[in-house]
Amino acid sequence: MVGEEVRKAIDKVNLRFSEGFPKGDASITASVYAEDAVICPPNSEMIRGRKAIEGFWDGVMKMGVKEAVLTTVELSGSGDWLHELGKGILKIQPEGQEPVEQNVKYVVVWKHTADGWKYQWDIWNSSMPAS
Amino acid sequence: MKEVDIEADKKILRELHVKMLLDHTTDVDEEMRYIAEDAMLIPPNSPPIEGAKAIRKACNMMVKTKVLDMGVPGRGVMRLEVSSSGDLAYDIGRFRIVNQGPEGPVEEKGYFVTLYKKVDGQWTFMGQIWNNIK
Repeated sequence: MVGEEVRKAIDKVNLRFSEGFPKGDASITASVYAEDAVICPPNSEMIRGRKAIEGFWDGVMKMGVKEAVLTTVELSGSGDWLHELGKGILKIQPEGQEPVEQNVKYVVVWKHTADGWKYQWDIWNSSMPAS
Repeated sequence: MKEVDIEADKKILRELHVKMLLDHTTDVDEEMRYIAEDAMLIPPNSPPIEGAKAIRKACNMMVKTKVLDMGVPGRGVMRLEVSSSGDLAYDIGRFRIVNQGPEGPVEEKGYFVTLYKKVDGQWTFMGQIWNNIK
């Protein structure tokens, strides 16, 4: 079971993740990751380390993703590790085109560090058939 | 409070990972022994597969696929972590499977994250999400 205090801390970090998108500032989004975090984006090689992750999200923001809304579906864990299952909506505004939304499902494995709760592993994918 | 032996749990989980991978292509009944009732698979480009019953159905379909090569089971795990409370664990790794397709071998490779929990002293599979590399 996850206590109320931990849940609030997780919610706060997730809001921080989303905060970077409308500002186009990947350093804000990347700040939620542990220094040695790993992300596994769809159709891509694994990306390791906060700096490389910042570069990934910077590229995503430059492609027109202006908003990322995360909804926690399940948060579970104890001790120094937690996992979160969730749903996300990426709102994309490509230049000169109509805005589109992409729905994703995700798993974040969280680690409690000296800087608080951080994303250690982050993996997400779409439910839509590949085009 | 019961003492947690993280290294012992990691050894059990590594063995479980290998066992489930081997059973995955040969013995669904055996594989299901380690899957929690409320487990979930989260495949790419497809809705989640929720619950042991739905997972069994998906595994039964997969077991009919002729696997030509799945690498060395267990070698794909890159990092395995057990919570300090000793009842939850996670692994991350890579996979590569070659299946017999209608027009020849089809290679699938990618990354996964697996969730485990200990129920009544036994580690069980709670879920897995994965992505393919194009």
